[in-house]
Amino acid sequence: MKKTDATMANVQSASGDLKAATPHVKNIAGNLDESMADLPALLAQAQTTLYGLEKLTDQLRGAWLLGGHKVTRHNRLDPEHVQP
Amino acid sequence: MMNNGPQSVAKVGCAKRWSLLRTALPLVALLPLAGCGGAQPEPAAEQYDVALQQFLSAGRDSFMLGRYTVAETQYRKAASLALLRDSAPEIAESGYDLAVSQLAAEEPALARATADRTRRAVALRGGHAMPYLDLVDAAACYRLGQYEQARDLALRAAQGASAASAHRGVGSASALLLNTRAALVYALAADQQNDTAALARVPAMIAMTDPHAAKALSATQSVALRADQHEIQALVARRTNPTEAWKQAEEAANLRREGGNYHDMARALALAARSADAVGQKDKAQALWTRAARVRLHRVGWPATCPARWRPVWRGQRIPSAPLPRTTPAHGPVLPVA
Repeated sequence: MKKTDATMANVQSASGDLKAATPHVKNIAGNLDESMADLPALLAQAQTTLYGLEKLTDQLRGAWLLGGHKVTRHNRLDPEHVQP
Repeated sequence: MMNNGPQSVAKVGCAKRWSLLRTALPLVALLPLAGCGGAQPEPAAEQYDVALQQFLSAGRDSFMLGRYTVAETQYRKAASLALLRDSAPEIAESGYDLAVSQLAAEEPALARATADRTRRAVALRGGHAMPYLDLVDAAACYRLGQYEQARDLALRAAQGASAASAHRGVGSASALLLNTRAALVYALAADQQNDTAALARVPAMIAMTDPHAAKALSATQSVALRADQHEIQALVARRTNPTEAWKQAEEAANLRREGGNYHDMARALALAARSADAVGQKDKAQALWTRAARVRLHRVGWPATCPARWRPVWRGQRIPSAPLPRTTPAHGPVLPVA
């Protein structure tokens, strides 16, 4: 019985904490929603930055100072990748 | 004061020179960076749609890392943007890349459908026939066991590559690669049909290798070209001279390994196994089969229908006493399902 009482007291305390935290849940959800809304734009910016970085490294590799050879990127996959 | 005058003037002059030097030094140091502009500017047309270029680039990077389904997604997005642009060359490019990715992702039926849709979309916009599309379509037909169609399409791809090469006056490297790959698909299909007359015609398809074009190939392309040539020679020699075929197929497999093309390596190993079997070297044939099957299994994964006794083979724990099945479908050995 003593154990049950202690457990119940803990449950009561936990539910009290939950009740105290409940008013903040709405704010937290709002903040989360706001942050999540920015994610697609952030991803797009990251993708664009990476693309720019890729172009920059290609140009750097082409610099004569770095022993450069011209780097040409072909988007089309070579016929060797066509796997019969 | 009079004595200090010239010294003061000299000090001021020195300070000015030092200041000028300090300004100029960083500029001089930056000069070598002007070399960064060494790469050729891109054609203007490529810069209009950055999103399309990004999808194509991301698709290529994913493909090169062996993430074929990711590449497929990227190329599908690129293809829909190309349709939005209503541009025949870009529709053809993205459609071809998408079909190649689908083929690599073990979806030959989808690859065929993509090639067909792309061909129709390009024709609708007055675009030219694209031998690359015929090649991927031929390879997809071969995988599906439609050998007659595979041969027709491969022949058309080879003819298209030769025509494009002749039109430009000099043989281009890409046309050479395309022509050889098309000849390989043709030879593979003819081999499955046991058509020795057709196989005898294959060497003539690749006989005219332009030395200028061969020189223009990168190291990876050169390895791929040599591997294709060895595999073709093995296919042609398989019925008449199996010892030679065995040697050529093993050479092709080694080159495929060097080039990191494991799908084609498994096929070359299977061809070497068949040739070794024809020579009468049963043990070596079995070892080659096992190697081929293991490579194939690692690449495509383990089907749920596979019996438990084969699982240790996949995990690399032991070689089974019983050989892997010798009746091969078009694209190499498969697992026993019974």
